[in-house]
Amino acid sequence: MATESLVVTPKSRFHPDPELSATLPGYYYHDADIYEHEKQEIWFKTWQFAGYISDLQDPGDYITADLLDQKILVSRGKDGTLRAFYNVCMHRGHILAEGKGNKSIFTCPFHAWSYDTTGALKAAGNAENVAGFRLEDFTLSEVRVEQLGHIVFVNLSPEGPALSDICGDIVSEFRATVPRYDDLYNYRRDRYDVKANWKLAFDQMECYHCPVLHPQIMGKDAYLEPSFEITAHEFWSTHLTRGNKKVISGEKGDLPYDFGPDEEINNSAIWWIWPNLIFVAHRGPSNLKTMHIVPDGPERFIMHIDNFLADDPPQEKSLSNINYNRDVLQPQDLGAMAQQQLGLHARGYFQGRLMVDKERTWRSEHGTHHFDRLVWEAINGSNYETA
Amino acid sequence: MSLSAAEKRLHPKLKFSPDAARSATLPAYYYYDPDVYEREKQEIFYKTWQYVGYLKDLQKAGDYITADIIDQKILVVRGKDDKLRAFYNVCMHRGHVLAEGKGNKTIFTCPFHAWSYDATGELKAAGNAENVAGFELTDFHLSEVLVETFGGMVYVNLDPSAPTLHSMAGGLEKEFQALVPRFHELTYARTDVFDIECNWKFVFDQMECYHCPHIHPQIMGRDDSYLEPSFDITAYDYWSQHFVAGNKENIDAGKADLPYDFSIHGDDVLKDAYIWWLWPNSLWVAHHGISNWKLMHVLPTGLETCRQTVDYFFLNDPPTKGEVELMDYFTDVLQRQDITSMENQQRGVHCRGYSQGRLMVDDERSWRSEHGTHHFDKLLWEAVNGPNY
Repeated sequence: MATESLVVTPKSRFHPDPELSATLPGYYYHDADIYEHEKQEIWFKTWQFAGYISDLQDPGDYITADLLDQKILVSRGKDGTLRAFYNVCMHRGHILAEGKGNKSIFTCPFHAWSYDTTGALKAAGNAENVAGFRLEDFTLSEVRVEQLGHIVFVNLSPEGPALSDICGDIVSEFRATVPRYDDLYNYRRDRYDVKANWKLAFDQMECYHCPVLHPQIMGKDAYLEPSFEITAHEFWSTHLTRGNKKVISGEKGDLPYDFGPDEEINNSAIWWIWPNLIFVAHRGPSNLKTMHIVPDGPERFIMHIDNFLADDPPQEKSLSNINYNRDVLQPQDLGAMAQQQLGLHARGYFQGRLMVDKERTWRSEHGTHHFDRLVWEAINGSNYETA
Repeated sequence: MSLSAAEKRLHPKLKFSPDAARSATLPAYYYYDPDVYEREKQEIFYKTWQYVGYLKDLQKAGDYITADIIDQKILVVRGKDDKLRAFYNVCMHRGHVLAEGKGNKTIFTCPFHAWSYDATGELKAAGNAENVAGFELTDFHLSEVLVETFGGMVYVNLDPSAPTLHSMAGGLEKEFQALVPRFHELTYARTDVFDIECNWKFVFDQMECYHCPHIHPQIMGRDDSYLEPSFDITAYDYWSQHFVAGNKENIDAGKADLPYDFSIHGDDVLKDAYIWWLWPNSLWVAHHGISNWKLMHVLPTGLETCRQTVDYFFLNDPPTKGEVELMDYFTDVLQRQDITSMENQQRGVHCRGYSQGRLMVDDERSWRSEHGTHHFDKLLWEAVNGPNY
C-alpha cells in the first residue's frame, strides 16, 4: 500500500542521466504496490533462470522451477526440442510434476490426466463419457524457453525480444574468461534467506562500498587493485576487478583465501543479466558461481549460489574460495542490505544521491544506476516526472 | 489488495454452468481472490447453518459452549427454562468477548467492567448504571442468533431470516440412525485438527471418486483394494449421501490389504462406507468396519488456508485397539493423501497458464463422475453471484 513517504524532496529525483540522479525512492523497497508492479512488469515479463542444461540432456529429461507463485516445467521432448510449460494440470489446477528426472509421460497425481513431452493431453479417464470433451482443448500452457550457455531460461510473456538477441554474447565472454567452461559442474548450492528487498542486492553493483565493507579485498595491501571496470549493454554488463600483483606474489599483505600468482583465472569478473542473475568468476582454478535472487515478499529475498567448478574432485584452493565466499564475503554484503532495509523505513529519509562521476571510475555508482533505471522504466515507463 | 481484471482469468471456451454435464470448474481465482472470500463470508458463512458444538456439553441448565465462525464469536447456553439460546459472545458495553471455552454458569459476567447477563441474554447488572442518565438495562440485551440441533450436534445461523435447519437437512439424522449401527450410543473419542494450506473450497471439491484410485490406491482400483469402484450420490438441495460399496470378495477372501480391523463377521459393523455432506462445510463419514461416525468440520482461517476439525465417535469408551487403529489410519494415511492433493491445487491454481478446467461429469453419473463437486460449486457460485451465469 502506498504511504505518505511518496513525498519526494524537490532537489532529489531519480533521473535517466546517472550523473544527475538520485537513488530510487526509499519506499520502492517496501511498498506493496511497487512489489505488485514488479511482479507484473519485471518478473512475469523478463527472462528468468529456470535451471541448468546439464539436467536436460536426454529426451524425457525434465526440471521444475518456481517463479514467485508461478510453477514451471521444462522438458526435453522425444524430438530433442526443449519446451517449457506452466507446471499445472489443465483439469483442476493440481501441480503436475515435482523435482527433476526423466519422464516421457507426465501423469497428474490427482486424477491421472496424462500429457506427453510436447504438452499434448494424451489420456483423461472417463473422457469418452463426458459431453463434447476433446483432449486437444487441454494442452499444457506453453511459455518461452531458451538455452544460454549452461543455463535454461524461461519467459512468461509471449512478447519481447529473444534472450539470445539481448545477451547472446555473454557465453563467449564466459568461454574467454573461464578456462574449461565445458567441464564446469555444480559442486554445491548455498542458500541465503535475507531480510531485505531484492533490489538492494543489485544496487550493490558498485565498488564504492568495497574498501569499506570488504577491506580485506580492496584496501591497504589487499589482493585486489581498486578497480571496477564496467562494460555495459542494455540488459547485461561485465564488471572486472584486477588483482594486486604485489600482494598476490607474497611481497606484502595477506590473501583472504588460498590462491597463487599464476592461476587459471587471475582477475575477478562479475556478469549481470537483467533483472536478477549474477555470475562471478573468482581468482583461482576454473570456477563460475551463479547467484540467483528472487523476492519472498516486499522485504525478503532468497539467494541461491551455485558453485560451479571444473575439477572433480575439487582442488583444496577451490574449496577455500567457495567457503570464503559463503562465510566472509556474502555475510559482509548481506549484512549491509539488511541494515539498509531497516534504514529505508525512516521517515527522515526519502532518497539519496547516486555517486556517479564523469570518468566512471572504480568508485562510481553507475552500475547501480543502470539497474535502477531499468526498474524505474519497468514501473513508470519513460516518465521521470513523478516519483 | 483486490485482483486486477487481468488476474481474473477465464477459459476462452469453457465456463461454469448450472448444467453439471457441461460445466467448467470454478475459475482458479475463486481460490485466492480476496473479494470472493469477502462475498463468501457475507453470503455463506454468515447466512448458513454452522456447526458450533455438541449437545453432550449442553445437558443441564447453565451449561454453555463458545465457538468461532471465522471472526464471529458465538455463545450457546441452556437456560433455567431448559431452552437452548445462542448469542454473539460479546458484551454490549464495550465489545469485550464475554465467555471463554465451555462450562456451567447462571450469570455471564464480562471480565472488563463486570456487566452481568443471565442465560436468556438479559443484562441483569451494570456497575454505576443508576447514576448514568437514561440508562436502561433492557437496552443492552445480548444479540441473539438462531440455534437448532440434530443428531446430537448444535448449529447456529447468523441470518435471522434463514430457513430452519430442520427443513433443509431433516433427513440427515434419520440416515445416521438407519445406517450407523447403534448411532445414539456412540460416544466421543478424539479430535484431530488439520491446518491445511489451501482455500476451504478445495476440501469440498474433493467430493468425487475420480481421484480415488490415484490418490487412495489402497481403497480403490487395485486388485487388493477393499472398496468397489463405486460412489453413488443421492443428492438433495442442501445435502447429499455418498455410498461406497465394500469389495466383499476381497474382504471375505482375506485378499484385501486391510488398514485396520474390519471385524467383518461381528455385530454392529458397516459393510460399506458412507459420506454425508451438508452445505456448506460439514461432512460426516462412517467407514467400513466396527460402528463409527465422524464429523469433519471445515472453516477458512484465511484466504488460502483452512482448518479441518475431525471428531471421532465409537461405541466403546475408551476406544478399543481396533477403533484407535481406524482413527490413526484415517488421520495418518487417508487425510494426508487428500490434503497433499488439495495443497498442490492451491499451489497450482495461481499459474497464469491455468484459468479453469472441465468438470468430468458423465451421463450415467458413474462413480468417476464429478457431479458431487459440481453440486457444491453450483451452490457456491449462486451464493457469490446469484443465479447469474
